[in-house]
Amino acid sequence: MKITGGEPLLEKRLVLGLLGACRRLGLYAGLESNGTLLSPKVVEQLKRLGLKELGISLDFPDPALHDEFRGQTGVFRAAVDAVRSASRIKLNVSVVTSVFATNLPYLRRHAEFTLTEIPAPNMKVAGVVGLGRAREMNGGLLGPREYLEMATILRELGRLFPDRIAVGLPWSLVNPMDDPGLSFGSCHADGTMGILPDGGVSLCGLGVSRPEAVVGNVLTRDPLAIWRDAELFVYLRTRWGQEFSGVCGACIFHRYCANVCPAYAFEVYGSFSAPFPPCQHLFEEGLFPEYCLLDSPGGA
Amino acid sequence: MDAQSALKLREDVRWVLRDNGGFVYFPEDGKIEVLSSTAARIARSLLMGLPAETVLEQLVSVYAEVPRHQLEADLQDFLHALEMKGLLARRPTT
Ligand code: SF4
Repeated sequence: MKITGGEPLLEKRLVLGLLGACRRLGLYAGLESNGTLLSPKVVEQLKRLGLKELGISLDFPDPALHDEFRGQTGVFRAAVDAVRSASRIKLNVSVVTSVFATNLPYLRRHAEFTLTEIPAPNMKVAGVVGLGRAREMNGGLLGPREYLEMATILRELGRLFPDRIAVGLPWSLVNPMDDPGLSFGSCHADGTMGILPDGGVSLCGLGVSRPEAVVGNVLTRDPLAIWRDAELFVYLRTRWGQEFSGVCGACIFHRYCANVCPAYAFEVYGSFSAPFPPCQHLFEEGLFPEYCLLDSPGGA
Repeated sequence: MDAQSALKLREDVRWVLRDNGGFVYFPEDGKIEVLSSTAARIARSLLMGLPAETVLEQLVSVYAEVPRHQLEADLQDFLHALEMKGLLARRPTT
């Protein structure tokens, strides 16, 4: 179970309750936070309750820039302190960084700061996906050329900091064969059920911005029944991954990187099997790596 | 080294060969098989149509510190593994 937000610790009692339930049921529990409510005491409490993985959001290597971006003074300090508190008690902690147009120029420095100066044991990096609030974020989504630049920087960083950076990026740009120093995350859309703040059920948080992707509510129906019967989940379990359209349908990596984020594909093209928008944009601009293409892609 | 057969790599798969390794993409199931740097070097030579003897000579010059008989055995093992995966056909030349 991954507990995320907004800032989940604004509902601390709920978070503690969920962690307790995970421990009773033997579920792996992870939490993502901006760090502002993670005093050393809270971090210890979360560990005692069985938290296995803590992700702390940090987007810039500079306090003024990070605080300005987050719209709150002191967030940078809080995030850095939270990473250090968690490291001290050997809680598995990562810095989580979303890359957008405004922090891309700082990415190298940010990784050095994160991995050598804080130092966090690991970091997770992905290009921000244009879902929900992220669409309106003042950071700006990455264009195709910026996406390529991010990949180039991450490849370098993978060589500088082997085994310490996990990426959520299309395999056409970074992949385990060419970049063995990086680790590769995957969203496991065929095994994911997102529960929204009002009990609504969707694939991850997609239902917040796209109500048509909400397929039930755990307050009124057995979550297992929703998981078993909802057309969305049946589709993701049985057909998603076998019928990609656009550039993903013609890409040699479709079996492995599987359109990266089907929620983003749905948000942009209205289908979970549509291509990952950044790859489709790269293809449309003639920037998609030729060697990955099997034949001419159909439409998105 | 078997001088009586020409080696032909399967061409309807996608060979992605780099200096430090590579991989093969199988269109029938979308799977990928990773190649070491030596395997990628051998595959590149075979795709160029070079015979096994020439490939062995190339290996001998690159890995001068490794005994020739060892390289020959490694090459044969690799060719056998390629055959087992359906990636290599040996065609008699005489
Ligand atoms: S085109 Fe699709 S399958 Fe290929 S690398 Fe991009 S997201 Fe992955």
